[in-house]
Amino acid sequence: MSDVKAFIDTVGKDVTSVAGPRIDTAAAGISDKVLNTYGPRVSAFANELVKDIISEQSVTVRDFVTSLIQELCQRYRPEIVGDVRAHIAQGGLDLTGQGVRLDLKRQDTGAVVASLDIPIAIRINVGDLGVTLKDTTIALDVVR
Amino acid sequence: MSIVDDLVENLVERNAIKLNGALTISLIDGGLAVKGRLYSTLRDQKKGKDLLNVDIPVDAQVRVGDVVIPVPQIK
Repeated sequence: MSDVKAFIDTVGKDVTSVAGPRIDTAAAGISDKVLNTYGPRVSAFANELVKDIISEQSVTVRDFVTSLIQELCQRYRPEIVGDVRAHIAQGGLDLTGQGVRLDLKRQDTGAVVASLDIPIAIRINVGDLGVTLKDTTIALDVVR
Repeated sequence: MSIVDDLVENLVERNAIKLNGALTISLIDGGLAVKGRLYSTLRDQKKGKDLLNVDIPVDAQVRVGDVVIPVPQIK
């Protein structure tokens, strides 16, 4: 068995020493050819393909989106509920939302499909207001 | 017309009130604060003479309750 094994190893080494460089050379040649010749063609083909897909399918997508929006608008009705409470505070005005939420309701049944709470907490700073009176004359007149 | 009427009429028509001064209006918790000083002068317009000077310090607070604003509806 050892003779067979040595034989196969020897043959393998010889084949490798002869065929390896040739395979490397062939692989490099194929690689260069693909890179320089086929690569640009594949790239150009891909670009054209993408353009064709976009130009042919854009109308379809647009119609789909338009009809989808129309259907959604006909199906649902948004409604904002709640109050905003304005409170005068030191140096400003506080606006606070109370139960403010966006309800999405079914047009036909009025049932709430989804509800989104909208927290509101706004502070508006208001500086002091100065009023100056300069020789303001109050004249009285008798009603006859 | 009574004497009182004549008196009032003359007083009112002869005199005018001039106001000078400055007020500061600021927001405080729950309302407004007005602070400042007014100087008032009662002037006899016929004689062209000041009759009365009044110094009026002002320190007032106005309470304003919360205002509830319903959110606008989407039509």
